[in-house]
Amino acid sequence: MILDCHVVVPERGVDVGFTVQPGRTLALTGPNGAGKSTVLSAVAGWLRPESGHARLGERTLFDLAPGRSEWTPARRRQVGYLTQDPLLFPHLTAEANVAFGLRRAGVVHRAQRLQVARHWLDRMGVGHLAGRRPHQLSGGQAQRTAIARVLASGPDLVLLDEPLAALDAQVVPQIRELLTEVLTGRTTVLVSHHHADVDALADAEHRLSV
Amino acid sequence: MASASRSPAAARRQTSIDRTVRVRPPAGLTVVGVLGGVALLVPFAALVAGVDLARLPELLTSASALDALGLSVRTALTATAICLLLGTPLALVLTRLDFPGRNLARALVLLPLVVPPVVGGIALTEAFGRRGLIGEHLHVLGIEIAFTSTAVVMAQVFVSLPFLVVALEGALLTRGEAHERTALSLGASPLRTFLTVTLPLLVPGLVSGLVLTFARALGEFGATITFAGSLQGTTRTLPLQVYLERETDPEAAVALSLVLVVVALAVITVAYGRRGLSGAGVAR
Repeated sequence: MILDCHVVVPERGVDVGFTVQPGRTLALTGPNGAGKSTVLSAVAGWLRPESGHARLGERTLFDLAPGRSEWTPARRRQVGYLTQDPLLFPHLTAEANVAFGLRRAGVVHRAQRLQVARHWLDRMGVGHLAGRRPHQLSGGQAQRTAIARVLASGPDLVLLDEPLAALDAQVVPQIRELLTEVLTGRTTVLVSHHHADVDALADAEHRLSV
Repeated sequence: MASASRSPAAARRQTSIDRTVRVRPPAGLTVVGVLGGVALLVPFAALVAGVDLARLPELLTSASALDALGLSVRTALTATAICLLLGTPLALVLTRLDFPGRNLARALVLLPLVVPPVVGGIALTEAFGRRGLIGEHLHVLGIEIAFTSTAVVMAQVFVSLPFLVVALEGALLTRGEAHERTALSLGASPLRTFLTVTLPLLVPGLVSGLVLTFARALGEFGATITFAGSLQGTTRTLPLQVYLERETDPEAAVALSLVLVVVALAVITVAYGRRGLSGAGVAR
C-alpha cells in the first residue's frame, strides 16, 4: 500500500512530507533532533501532530488542519511499529508475545495463534526459545521476537525506529540480513543513523535537516 | 543450554558484586541516626517485654477479643477489596486521563492520609450519619449506616484508599505507557489492553499497595470510633478493643496490641520482602 504523509509538529521543528511507494522501504535520515522518531510516532498514532495528513492506501490515518480533524486510533491503523527497545510484554512468553497481534490478523483459535507464532519465531531463528520470558532472552533474541510480533500481526505498513541500535555489534549483521529478507515487498519507513542499515534495507532516502 | 544462550551482559549482572565506594554520612550523623532507630524500636521492645506469657492464651481467646479479631479481619478484608475495585480505576484516571484540575485532584486524594482520622470520622458522619447530607435520605429509605459494620468498612475505605492509589500511581508512572501503546498498535482494544497488559504489569505495585491498604484498614481507630461507635461484635474492631481494655485490663490491652504488631510485621515482610531486606538490596 502506498503511504502519503505530511507531519507538522511546530514545537519540535518538524514539518516533513514524503511518499512511500507500495512494497518499498524509505529511510528517514538526519541529525539527532531532526524529528525522525516524531514522524514515525505520528504515523503510528502514538503522537498527535498539530497538522498534516497521512493516508495509507485508501485509509486515512489522520487528517488535521484548522476546521478538519480526522484521527484513526493506533489500534485501527494496521501499522506495525518496531522501536529500538523491543517492548516485549514481560509477563508473556516469546510465543505468546507474537500470538498477541494475531487476533487482528483474524486467527481465531488460541492453539492456532500459538502455532502461527511458533512459525514466525522459527523464521526469525528463535523458534527454540518460544517458551522463554523476555528477561530470559538476549538483546538480539528479544529483537528477533519483536520483529516476529510486528510482522505476524499482518501490518499494511511497517515502521522501524533504529531497530539495530541497541544490539551487540556482533549480532547486527545477522539481524540486518533477516530484516532485508522479511521486509521485501512490504511498505516500510526506516529511521536509522547507520549508512549500513540504510544501504542494506532502503530503496530510497529522505534526509531531514534541523 | 540456558546459560549458553544468555547474553554476556546478563551473565555479568548475575555475578556482579557491588564494589562502588559509598559516600558515607559523617560519624556524628551516624550516631544520631542510630538513636533515631532506637527511638522507633524501644516502645515495641517494651511491648513485647510487657506481655504476660502465662495469661496470653486466655487473653487472646476471650469472647470479646475473638469478636474484635473476627470483626477486624472481616471488615479490613472487605475494605481492601473495595479499595481494589475503586482505587485501580481512580489511579488510572489520575495518571492516564488529561483533564483540567488533575494535579488538584491528585493532591485531594491524599487528604484522608493527612487529616486526623477523627476528622475523617466527623466528615463521614456529616455525609452518612442519620442527619447527614446523604444519610438523611438513606434514613427515609430505611437504610442506616452509622454505628453498623458497614460504617466500619466505610471508615476503613476512607482512610486506606489513598495508600493504594499512591502505590498504583507510582507503579503506573514508573512503567510508562509504551507497552500499552504497543498492544494498541497490535490491534488490541482498550479493554483487552487493560486486562492483558496494564493489569499484569501493575501486579507488583498492586501487591504492595494492597498489603499497606489492609494494614491501614486493620489499624483504623479514630474514624471508626467517631463514625461507627464501639459495639462489641458489630463495630468494636481490635484497635477499639485495645483502647477499651486499657481501662479495665491493661494486660489484655498489651496482649491484643502484640497481635496487631505481629500482623504489621507480616505486612512489612510481604510488602518489602520481595525487594530484599538485606542492606545491599535496598542500596541499589
